[in-house]
Amino acid sequence: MVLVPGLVWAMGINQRRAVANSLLAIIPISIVGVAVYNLAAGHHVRFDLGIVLAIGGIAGARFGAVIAHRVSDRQLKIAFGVLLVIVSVRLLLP
Amino acid sequence: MTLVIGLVSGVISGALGVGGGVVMVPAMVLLLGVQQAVAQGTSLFVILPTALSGAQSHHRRHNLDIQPTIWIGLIGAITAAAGAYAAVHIDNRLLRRIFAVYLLLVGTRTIYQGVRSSS
Repeated sequence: MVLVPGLVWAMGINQRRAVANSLLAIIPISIVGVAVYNLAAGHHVRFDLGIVLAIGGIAGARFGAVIAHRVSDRQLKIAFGVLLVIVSVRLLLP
Repeated sequence: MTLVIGLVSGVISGALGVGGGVVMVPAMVLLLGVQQAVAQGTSLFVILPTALSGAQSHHRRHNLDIQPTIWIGLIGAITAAAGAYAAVHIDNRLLRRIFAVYLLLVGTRTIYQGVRSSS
């Protein structure tokens, strides 16, 4: 959520390219995230759930990438903005 | 149900370029009865294969700048480690509010830009 607007701004690319680049940049970040989170907080990963979620995630991400290429950059921008606002409201609510 | 949660968060991830934890964490807590901390840890694990799959799919459509992005990811990884350390020492509620305001500002700006753009 920080990466996509950051990439649009820093690299001067469109929303669709920022989506793709963000997915690649997330990989090393989440490797560190998993490592730090588990070292700091003990074993907090349910691998039984994680593997099923990952199977769904792998398939879903392919479909999501197809959608990102079918819709306009404008629609992609609006959808992303709406997602950020929803998450923001959820964080602000007690 | 678990598979459906994975699928939905995968679609959001691949289409919008986010990790998918946004959907996965609350869904695991509310629908599967998983503890918040466990849901967060598990989502970090799931984000890896999901992002890899999405990135590969975008790459096939020639939509990826591999070299600069890997550098950004590596710098991000170092910052993430520092951020995780800082998060332990900063008041969680304050952190949530700062992040929420940031998302609200960037979100409304992005919607505004999208609505105004012609393409």
